[in-house]
Amino acid sequence: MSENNRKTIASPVPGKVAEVKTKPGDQVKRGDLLLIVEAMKMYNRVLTPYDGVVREVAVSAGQKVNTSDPLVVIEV
Amino acid sequence: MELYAELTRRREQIKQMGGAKAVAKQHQSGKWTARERMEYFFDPGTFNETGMFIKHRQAGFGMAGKEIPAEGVIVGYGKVNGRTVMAAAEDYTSMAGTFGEYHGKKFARAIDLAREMGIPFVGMNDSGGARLQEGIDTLEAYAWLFRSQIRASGVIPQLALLMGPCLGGQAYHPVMQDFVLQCREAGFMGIAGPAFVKTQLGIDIDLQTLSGVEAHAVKSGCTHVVVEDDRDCLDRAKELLQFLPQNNREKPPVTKPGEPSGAVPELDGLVPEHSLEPYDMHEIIRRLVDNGYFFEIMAGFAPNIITGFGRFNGRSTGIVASQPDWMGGVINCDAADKAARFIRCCDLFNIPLVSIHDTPGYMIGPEEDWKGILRHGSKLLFAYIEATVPKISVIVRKSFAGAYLGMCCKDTGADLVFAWPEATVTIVGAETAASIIFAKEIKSAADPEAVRAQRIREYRNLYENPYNAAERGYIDDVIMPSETRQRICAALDLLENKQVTGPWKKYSNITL
Repeated sequence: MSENNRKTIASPVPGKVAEVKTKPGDQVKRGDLLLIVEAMKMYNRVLTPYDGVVREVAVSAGQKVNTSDPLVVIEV
Repeated sequence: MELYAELTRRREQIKQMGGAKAVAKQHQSGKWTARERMEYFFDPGTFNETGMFIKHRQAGFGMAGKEIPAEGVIVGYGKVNGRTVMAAAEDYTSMAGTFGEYHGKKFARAIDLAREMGIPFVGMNDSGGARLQEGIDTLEAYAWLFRSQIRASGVIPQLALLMGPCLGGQAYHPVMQDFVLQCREAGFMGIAGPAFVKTQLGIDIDLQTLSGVEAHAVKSGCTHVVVEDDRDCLDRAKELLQFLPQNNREKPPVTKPGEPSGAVPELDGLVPEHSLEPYDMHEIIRRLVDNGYFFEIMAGFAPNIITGFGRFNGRSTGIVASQPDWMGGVINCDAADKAARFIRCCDLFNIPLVSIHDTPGYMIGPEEDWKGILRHGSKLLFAYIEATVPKISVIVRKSFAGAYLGMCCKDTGADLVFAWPEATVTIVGAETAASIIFAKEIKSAADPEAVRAQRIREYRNLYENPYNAAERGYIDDVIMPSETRQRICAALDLLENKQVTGPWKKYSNITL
């Protein structure tokens, strides 16, 4: 698998992972919900911009994340 | 008569533009010619050209005797939807529409005339850039253009249609107009093109990536509306003009109301009860405005705040709304910049404002603080407090802390404030408030968690609702969501003849 096929989805905001909605091996389609990051009193839905297979989930619920921290790796 | 034939011959010659070959090339690249654009833009048979015979006076560097029909820019006036508009269209087929002394003079004079006559100006950009052969004559002509457009700024609406390239200092021309419409495949602007970036900085980047729609509608915030092609661009420009008055002393045209200003039952229960749950604010906006028609401005840039035009009972209205679906509707530097400029534009052109709050606050943290959230965020305060047009605020859910002030509350400028029963208007969330106010008590309690929960509940019951603010008169009425459209329409009737006089000054020292 080449590096170019692996796309990393990063956190759009600094906050806390409220819920993880995907796991490695999941087949995902563009626009599917991957996880929710709570920040500034709001749930921020993190959606996949790619079709593909989830290869890695780098975070778990309750974990603090910063802007551009990697959350999920998708093989496209 | 020979004299008449001479006129016809000269006219026909100029109307050939750069000649059949150049015109074919323009068409091959998917673009219309400047004359085709003008013809499509104006109501049939209403276009009057001026300065057709204007010619450069250069002799150096191969310019002697060089024919550049209409000096590479077609200028004139006519009717658009029955209203008079001035336009200039650069002709890429004539010496690549390059900008020289007399090209600039035609452009600047057109804007001056539009300002003096109080009619909108529309510029269609499609140019190879500065005509370097002309040296200082070209450079100074940019100053004429910039001076004319800035003197006209705030007097008449100015629209830039980016239908071809516009690179180099010339690109200040479109961005300094009120709205930039950029064609998806053909429109480019930038302070320098890829070749210059390569030689000066060693960076390899293609024109579309550096200067295309993604660059300006998403990243830089210079483009207001992305359009598909020439036809779409001109259609959207005509639509946009319908929301604007002819000049700053008029109100925008009132169209016939498309539907009665009755109740909208679908709005009840539309906002998720759980205050952390996101939803798409467009769903609310479309249900509030006439015929569900919303003309969005800068949709791709800072989507956490929505700006655009809609109508209430036919009245053109600027809408500024939080977008909970994008970063929770938080206000960051880009969102504040985007909304503040839109608010001031509406104010300049007598367009009332409706502000819809559902925001947790201004974005905090080192990234935004260092980017200058205080400086950028305060532009919203300047914009709202100084705007003299009718201002109506609707708090649909959260309106917290600085964002309550920044989205226009009673005393930052709103003439009328409505809140939905779901609204929570407070300085801070209950969790934060209780843990600060009662820090000592919670720490020393036998059961800290129980005391903490109790204090949070108390704070929430007292403040996390619309009634506390309504008791003080900061909210004029708490209304059912379904009543909102009726109430906005009635409020705009009330505010129709609003007059405000402020203290004398040149202008405020806005936190640019």
